[in-house]
Amino acid sequence: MRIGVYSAALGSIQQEMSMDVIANNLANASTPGYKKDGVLFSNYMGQSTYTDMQQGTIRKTGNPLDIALNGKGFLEVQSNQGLRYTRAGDLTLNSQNTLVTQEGWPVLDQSGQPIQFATTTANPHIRIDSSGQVFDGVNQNPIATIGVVQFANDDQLKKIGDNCFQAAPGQAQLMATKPYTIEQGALEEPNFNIVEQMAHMIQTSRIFESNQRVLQTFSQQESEVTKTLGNV
Amino acid sequence: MIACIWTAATGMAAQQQNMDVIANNLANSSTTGFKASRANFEDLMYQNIVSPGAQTSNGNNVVAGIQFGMGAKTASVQKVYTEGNLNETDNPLDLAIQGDGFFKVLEGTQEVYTRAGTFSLDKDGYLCDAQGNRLQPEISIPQGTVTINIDSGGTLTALDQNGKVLSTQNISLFSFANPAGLLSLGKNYAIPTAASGQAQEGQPGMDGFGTLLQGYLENSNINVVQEMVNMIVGQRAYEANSKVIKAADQMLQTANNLQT
Repeated sequence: MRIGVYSAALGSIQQEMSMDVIANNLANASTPGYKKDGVLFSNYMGQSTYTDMQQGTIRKTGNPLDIALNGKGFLEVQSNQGLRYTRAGDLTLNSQNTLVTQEGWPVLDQSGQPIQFATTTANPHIRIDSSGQVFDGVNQNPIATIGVVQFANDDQLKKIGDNCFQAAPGQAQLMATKPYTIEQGALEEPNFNIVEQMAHMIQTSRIFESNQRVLQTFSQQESEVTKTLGNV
Repeated sequence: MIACIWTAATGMAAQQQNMDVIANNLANSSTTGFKASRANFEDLMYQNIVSPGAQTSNGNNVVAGIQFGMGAKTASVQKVYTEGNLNETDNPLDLAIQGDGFFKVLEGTQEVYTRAGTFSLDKDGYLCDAQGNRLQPEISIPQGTVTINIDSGGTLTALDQNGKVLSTQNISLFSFANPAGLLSLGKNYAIPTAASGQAQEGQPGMDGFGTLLQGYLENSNINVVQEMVNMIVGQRAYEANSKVIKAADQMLQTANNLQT
């Protein structure tokens, strides 16, 4: 068999991968804080997926416990399995009046502690300013400041589902140094638009088809060769 | 590629649930005291072929790994407890809560909570809601009452035709740490769960409780335009996911036709 057969087969497999990534992006068209994945075709054999950490557009919701991060960084979340990082700001209170994500995991403040409200606090009175200071509507002073964590290298974060990222072992996290703002009553939309992903999808399926055509041509040529040689 | 068909299916399922929520919101746009629901989405787990940040044999870290997502899921359908507009009705037994809190009524033997303040009197003269269930703690209006006054602090005064005070009683409100965690029962009723916390009784106007407004009703907090926009966006996302299934199907078909 000629080497081209394998190239075409490999090309098909790569396009399949690409399709899986596009399907996952589109399935998350309504997931707040979702970051799109892409496929890198670096060379002949190598390929990898990467997460595009670009800012998504911010949509007003009016819900006082929705927050959107504008700028680099992540909210720090204490999950059952350790620290997780998220940009999904659709927060809520649990029965103990702790600020939690939709999974029920506490969102941490700058000193790594859960953010706890007094039992008399009702959520319409909660105010979060652009630097992340949380006011409970009773005390004059902020009760906590939402912790925002930035990484030197976002590429090493691993997506683990539930809108969360996990840091690579040993990856240093730092408190935010680059500018960011927090917007209350808003959520960050996924950072892709459907049209762009549809275009990728069409391209992917056409390239897949071309690769398959190549395979078909090889197969025809080979059968021709066999036939001709057989007649000699 | 078989995976991406299923991934797109999870996206379609999520958008379908989104649409169900929007449909219920729009259907209740005229329901007194109704609170909008919102579906919150999350991504599903990822299949890690190569983890980003993993160590390679020469001691470096993998810069970008290979991760495939499995789609999306509905994490929760959350009630949004923002206040609805107030609507003047001039009916002396219509009550609107300005701010937080719920009325408690007894449905059979179960205590349920509601923000729908369409009250009236039952045959024994007790204050009851539109379903005929009595407000808790019970409030009975004495015979011969002509005028009923309810002030913002929840004090109900019953007066006869000469303006003589027949009785004074207090209407209590109940609040929850996390109203979004209440379980909706329909009929405008909700009951507490482990997520909402226990009900706390208080007088209207106290810290953490709203005030009462007589002769008004609270409209639903549905913004019809907003819901329509959500519907359009949801429908397009649904469509895009269905197109992924179609494209994947065509790719499989091409592969199947290799052997002619």
